[in-house]
Amino acid sequence: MREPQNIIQRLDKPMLVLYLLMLLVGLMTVFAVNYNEESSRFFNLSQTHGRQMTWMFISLVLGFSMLTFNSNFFTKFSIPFYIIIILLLLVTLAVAREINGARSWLQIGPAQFQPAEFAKTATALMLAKYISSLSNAVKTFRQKMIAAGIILLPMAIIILQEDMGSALVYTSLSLVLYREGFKVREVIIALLFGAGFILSMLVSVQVLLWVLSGVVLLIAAFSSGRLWRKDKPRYLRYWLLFLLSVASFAAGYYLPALRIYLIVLAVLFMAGVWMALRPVAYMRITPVFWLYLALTGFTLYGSSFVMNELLESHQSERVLTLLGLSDDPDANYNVTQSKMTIGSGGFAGKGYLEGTLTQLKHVPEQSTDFIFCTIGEELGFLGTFFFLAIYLAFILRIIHLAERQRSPFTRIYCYSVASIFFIQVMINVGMTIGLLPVIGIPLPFISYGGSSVLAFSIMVFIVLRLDADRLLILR
Amino acid sequence: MTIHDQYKNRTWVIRGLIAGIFLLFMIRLLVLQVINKDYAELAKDRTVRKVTVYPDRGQMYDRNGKLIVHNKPIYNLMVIPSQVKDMDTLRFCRMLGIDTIYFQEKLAEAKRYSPLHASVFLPQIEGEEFARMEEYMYEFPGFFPEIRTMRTYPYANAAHLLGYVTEVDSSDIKRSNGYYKGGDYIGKSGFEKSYEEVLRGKKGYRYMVVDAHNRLMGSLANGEKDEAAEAGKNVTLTIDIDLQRFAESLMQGKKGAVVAIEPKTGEILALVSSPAYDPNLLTGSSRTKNYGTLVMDEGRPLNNRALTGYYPPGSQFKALMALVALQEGTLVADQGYPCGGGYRMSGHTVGCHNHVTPSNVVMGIQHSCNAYFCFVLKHFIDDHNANAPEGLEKLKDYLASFGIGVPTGIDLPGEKGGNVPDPEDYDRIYGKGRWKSSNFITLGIGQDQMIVTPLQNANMMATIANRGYYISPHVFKYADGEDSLLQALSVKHYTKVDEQYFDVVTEGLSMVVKAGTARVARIDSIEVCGKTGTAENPHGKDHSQFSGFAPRENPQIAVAVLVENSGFGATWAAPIASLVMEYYLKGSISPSRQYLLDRMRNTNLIGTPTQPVAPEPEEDRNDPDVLVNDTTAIKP
Repeated sequence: MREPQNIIQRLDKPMLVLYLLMLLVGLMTVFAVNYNEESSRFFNLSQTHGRQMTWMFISLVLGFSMLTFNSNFFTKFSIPFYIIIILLLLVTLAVAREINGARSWLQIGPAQFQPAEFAKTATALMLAKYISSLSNAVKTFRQKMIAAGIILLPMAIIILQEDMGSALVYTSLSLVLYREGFKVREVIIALLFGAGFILSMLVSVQVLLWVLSGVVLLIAAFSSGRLWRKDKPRYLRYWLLFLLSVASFAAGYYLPALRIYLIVLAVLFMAGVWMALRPVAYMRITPVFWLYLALTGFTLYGSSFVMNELLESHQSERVLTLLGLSDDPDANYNVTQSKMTIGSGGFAGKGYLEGTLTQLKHVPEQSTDFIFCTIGEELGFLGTFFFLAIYLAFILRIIHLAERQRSPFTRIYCYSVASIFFIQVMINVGMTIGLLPVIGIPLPFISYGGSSVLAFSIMVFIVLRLDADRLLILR
Repeated sequence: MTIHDQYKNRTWVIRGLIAGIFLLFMIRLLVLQVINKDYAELAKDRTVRKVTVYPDRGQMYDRNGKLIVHNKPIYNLMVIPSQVKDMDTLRFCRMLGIDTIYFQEKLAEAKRYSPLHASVFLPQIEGEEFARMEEYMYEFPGFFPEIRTMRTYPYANAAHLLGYVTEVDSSDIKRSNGYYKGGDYIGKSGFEKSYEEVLRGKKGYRYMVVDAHNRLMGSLANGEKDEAAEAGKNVTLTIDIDLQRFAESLMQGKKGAVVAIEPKTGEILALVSSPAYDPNLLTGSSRTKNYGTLVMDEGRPLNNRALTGYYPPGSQFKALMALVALQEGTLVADQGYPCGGGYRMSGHTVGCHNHVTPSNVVMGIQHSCNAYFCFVLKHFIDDHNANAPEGLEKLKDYLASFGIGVPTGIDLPGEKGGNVPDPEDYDRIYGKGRWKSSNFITLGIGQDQMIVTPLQNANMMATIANRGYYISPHVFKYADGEDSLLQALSVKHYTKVDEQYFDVVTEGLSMVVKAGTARVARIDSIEVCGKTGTAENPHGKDHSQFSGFAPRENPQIAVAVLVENSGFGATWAAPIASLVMEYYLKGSISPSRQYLLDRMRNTNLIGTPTQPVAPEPEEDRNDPDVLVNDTTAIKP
């Protein structure tokens, strides 16, 4: 065997370059957002971009020093790390004051940080630790429940912190579960759980129950082909469900809210996809089905709780707006402003630092949640296209790294990281271009915020460190 | 040990899903940014407009709290050329009272400035007129009103002192470091200029979202970015507007100036430059036209003669000459000098008039003896100094401590400092070291190259009234939170003459009015001190001058009056000054002096008088102040 090279030489260079490139883009964008003629100096640490630069520097120092750790450190300490983070989340839940409607910020002396950002890394490590410890792929129901539980535990605490955006990020880990052997429909259940979570924010309990019955109708319809042939008495209850559904469906049809009907169709479509993916041989209604019903029921019921208790009224309005259910122009405001700002960039953009709407602070929260607007306005379609292309390359590179590992631990961890980046970008960018509701989560490396930059950098450096030892098997 | 990875192919599903979503986003962005122009159009049309909120300029009050300057709303009709659509031009023009040529020109001009930004189409439409057209404005897209304010003056007086406000010009904008933008107003002269920063307030800004039809769609981000305008501060001035009005009425039909100061504070009570003009002429839409007329006027009404008029002080200066000579010890109070009709030097004579021989300083001042003060100057220059230049330097120094030859520091723009000749001046004329006191002997009687402004005369009298100090004359009295300004305006400037010498000079000035050259200035029960002056004027008739203060004990007012080309100091200036004093001290003019008031008010001395000048009273016939020039001039 060749002498092992030093750690820097063994790092994956494309990954490192992509990471640094995005830090640079982020810094320049934060500078552009807060740029005005009065504060045009770049090296000014008291300005927003100056503070961001400081955090990036800290992240790089910390990241490179982490490269000196042995890879085994991460496998060994993933369990204590996870436990500590869970405790930290609980402490935050207990002591944090409310900022922007969420109790997710922990104050330590003069510094503030969001444990939820770091919980993502901890959960990814824990998931990798657990699944790689199994002698085989995830097989049994018990194993699956534990794997799901590792994800759901921090997610639940974060939901209780009323930080819906961060909680939603965890649903992306279902991609990892899929890669590691969960069945497609199980993953789709998980995704529906997330999607349902968003969709369930829509409407009243009555309508949701009506949606539920629509789903049941579909299931019954799919099953009906079998019903004619054998075991008629056994499926009688499905017929009853079917009739019930038809009745409620008809009632729903004559409801004036026609647009809700379209959403129902969407839900039915998803359910249909799920049914279609069922193996033909797998005819019996499995526990999974009941689980699905339970989860859907929970999320649907939970939705009214979310709508009425957790979400601020303006947030609910925004969701309704996205779904065309609200004519309130104020609720539409952010998204319209955002789309206008991006649209005004045209093909080539207005030029860096030339974004007039950006400088007029046309879009709220533009240095954090809506920072993509600035790229859209100033750099145009060319800018957004290449930006997304770089991000896509970054995520696909992580997956590429995942697939070349000998060690399942690293593979699972890498997939987790890729999934988390993917969903962050998807929700954030999807929101600014009007494809998803307004849910405030940062665009990694681009949005202003110290915790976020630090946490995502640590995530990336662990990938780099583990990948450098890709020939080892880590447990 | 490697576990067989049976799900390895699933990576392609995951990668495909991720790439698919990204592709979807890219397509969405392509539509949003390139293909579908709706949102870009929306952004273009729905622009954010930074609307300037103009603060109200501070109002002005006189010392008795009477409102003398305030604002009234006025409208500028603005145009954004790119938004002007097909319209009924003729109807529009008729409505505005303009012709189509004006319409075309103005629109072209606005287009040249910027098709996208607003420029003024028709300025300064008054409220009523605007109300009439407002309801039809919607028919004319691209045109919209901008509300502004206009200065108004309830009293048509004190135009020079108050100054005027105009739109900023390019040099104002450049100088202001970005504060002023085109269309802003700025104080261009007088008090408006010197207290611009107190009066102007702070401009505010509102960020408004405006749609394609120029309709306001509301404020940006609920107005969080807006900056509120701060109104300018209301200011109290030191002037007494009634006194100002009174003094202006006396100066009707005359060129000249009146300056009245409260000696112990330096506060300007009245400041008249005549011919005056109605300050309302320089506001509103007819400003440009009126300004042109005023500029062309031969009487040059825009000049502020009180601050910039250059006149030799003549005999008024004798009081000051006496003071400096007494201080220097080259003159003692009971010094007498022979007169005999003039001061004779080898070759020429400084003429004088018939009066008793002055046996002391008081009599010298009382009878305004030219010979006496030629002697005073000669001794001042020659007695204690090695040579004439040294003596002149010393004199200049003394005079500067009285605010003569240097600006008094009044808080109005454009003040001139007058002139006291330098040794260098005489070096140029006679050659270095080739001149002595006899070459400039008439300096002692306020002639030669000495020049003072009416303001300096008034300030000199205030200084004598205060027995040795003056506070720079000023017009600013009070504004909220501007105490630091007040402090700067209460500094006492002490002269180089000790208090003890003022008594004798004051006695002389008192005798001038009691039994000297200015008996016309007497006021019942008030002891007036003053001095006439008849300044020789190479361009025409002499300038009539008088300056003085009253009452002698605890003086309340010091006044300087100058009437151009009108003759003896006692004929016009002295009566006007004493009427101003009487009006200020008593509030009215006693019936016995009503004839004097009428004569002053009704006499026109500019050009051909419209009515015959009333016969001069006996005492003025043989004016003692006239410098009877010898045939051989002193000056080369």
